[in-house]
Amino acid sequence: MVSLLVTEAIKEKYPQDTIYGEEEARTEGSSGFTWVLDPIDGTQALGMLPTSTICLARINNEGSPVFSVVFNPTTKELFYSDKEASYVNGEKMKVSDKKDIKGSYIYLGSRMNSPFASNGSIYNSIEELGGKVFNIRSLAYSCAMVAFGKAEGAYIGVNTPFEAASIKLLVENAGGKITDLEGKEVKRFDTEINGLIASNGIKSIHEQLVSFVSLKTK
Amino acid sequence: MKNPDLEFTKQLLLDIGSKASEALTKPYETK
Repeated sequence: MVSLLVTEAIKEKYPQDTIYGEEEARTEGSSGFTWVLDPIDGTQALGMLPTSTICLARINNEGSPVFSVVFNPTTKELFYSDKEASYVNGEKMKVSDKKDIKGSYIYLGSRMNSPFASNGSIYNSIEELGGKVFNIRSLAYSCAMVAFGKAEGAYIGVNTPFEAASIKLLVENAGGKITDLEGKEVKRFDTEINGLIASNGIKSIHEQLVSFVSLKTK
Repeated sequence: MKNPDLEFTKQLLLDIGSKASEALTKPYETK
């Protein structure tokens, strides 16, 4: 239902744009802009946790988000970002200034694809250093919490861009950092990605989050 | 100056999210 409503509204207002959603077949346009949609991020959390969101980003012809919006209908939190800043319900967001994994909150959602370390291995690495691991099933909401300053890091293990497209600007414009699971820049958000790591931008924290993923299970 | 495309998108998700909120927030039903 959500997917259809969003898709129809975009088609009506931006008939030349491409639409790339998690539930509908990709429709190609000629404008150079692509809308990347996750109609329900965190499906498994529905009715269990107030964390499911709707994610929508407009991507330019270079694969970069121009702006993005993430809405949590349960909490009524509207996260959005333009070229300069990130907001939640109109208030500017800023990442936390915590400098150590110890005491940090790290979201770990979807499973990592091969060849990366298992979630169990990553979980152990974080908790052994005194960090606290959370899994709320909603990848975009997890990353939004990093932008909001409520958490220091979040992983996206999947290769699809449906959540990642909406959180890049949210996190970076709040002062945070985004890379793929190998610590490399994500160049396009309108096609397959190599997972994602969002952090508060503190170098030591981001580098450690990258290193945990590279540890293979024994 | 506000970005009209961003404003459209914000309003779209607010409207559709409100319509869908009952389905999205209904209590978990065991199978």
